[in-house]
Amino acid sequence: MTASSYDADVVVVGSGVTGSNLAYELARKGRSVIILESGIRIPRWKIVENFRTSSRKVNRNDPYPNAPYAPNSYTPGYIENTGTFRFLPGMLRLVGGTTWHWGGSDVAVPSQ
Amino acid sequence: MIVSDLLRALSRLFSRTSGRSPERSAPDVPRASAAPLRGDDSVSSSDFLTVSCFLTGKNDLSPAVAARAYAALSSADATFAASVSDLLGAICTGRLADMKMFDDFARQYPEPAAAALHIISAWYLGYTGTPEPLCSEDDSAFVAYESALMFRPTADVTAPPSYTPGRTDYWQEPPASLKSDRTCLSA
Ligand SMILES: Cc1cc2nc3c(=O)[nH]c(=O)nc-3n(C[C@H](O)[C@H](O)[C@H](O)COP(=O)(O)OP(=O)(O)OC[C@H]3O[C@@H](n4cnc5c(N)ncnc54)[C@H](O)[C@@H]3O)c2cc1C
Repeated sequence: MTASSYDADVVVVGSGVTGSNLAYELARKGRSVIILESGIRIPRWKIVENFRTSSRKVNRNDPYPNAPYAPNSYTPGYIENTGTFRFLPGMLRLVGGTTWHWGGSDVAVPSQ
Repeated sequence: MIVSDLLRALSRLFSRTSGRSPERSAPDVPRASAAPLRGDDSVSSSDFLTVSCFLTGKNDLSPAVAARAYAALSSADATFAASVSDLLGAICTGRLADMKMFDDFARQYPEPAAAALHIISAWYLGYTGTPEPLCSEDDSAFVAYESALMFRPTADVTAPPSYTPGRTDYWQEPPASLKSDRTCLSA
């Protein structure tokens, strides 16, 4: 196989929770799988640092990549909102997809 | 604290870090009180720090944070440097000798007073401008995070979100100082 030629039983588009789980289950059943992801992969510490140096901490998408080739949902014009109220879900474009929302963390609630 | 004491303290504080021009380094000699406020718009970084310390009542503000705040505020407002110069003039001449006089000062000099509020806001909030919650573009600019002044009152018991100041679930225990802390009811 050369660098520019790939082959797999299944090609999954998107590495969010849907694509990742699908790819994982198929791989467990013995299929070869490729995941295509439009966004970049960045380590958690960079996301934390982006949060800390963000001037808009009220904007939950801000710490995440927002590339011209993979714009997130808060990019002006990306989502056309035509309802009677403003509804703009915070969808992300990076390896891991929207699972990264809220910093990709699940804060443990103490037992008391 | 009277203004000359404060400015002497400030100039002691900044003499280590700044290259203050000599003509501005004797602020405890009041100018004629009838002089107009409007100064020039050549403001040094130590001028901005001096004004910031006076406005916030702090003497330990970071020059690096000041540089970011000044860059952000002056790029958003072409008259900002002149307002800082005015504020410095007002502080030096005693027109704004104490922040208790601020409301009166603001009525007389709305422009530098508005700039003063932007400066205080930048130091407390750690950003300038108005952040947009649902848009990747706005006019906000980063100034500081952990050192934003709004976090100081609770710095002994918690840290701003991101890294925990101690072990997991540290926040379950009530702060040891709770009993002796002044509340709005007992203040
Ligand atoms: C604000 C918010 C809060 C939420 N809170 C919760 C919660 O508390 N609990 C809960 O269960 N759910 C929550 N959700 C919902 C949940 O996060 C999403 O439903 C889920 O993450 C979506 O997963 P997905 O894989 O379908 O899509 P995504 O995670 O959005 O993944 C899609 C991926 O596909 C990539 N992609 C898109 N187009 C292409 C292309 N052409 N080529 C290559 N790659 C492409 C994208 O870059 C992205 O990485 C929340 C959602 C939001 C927005």
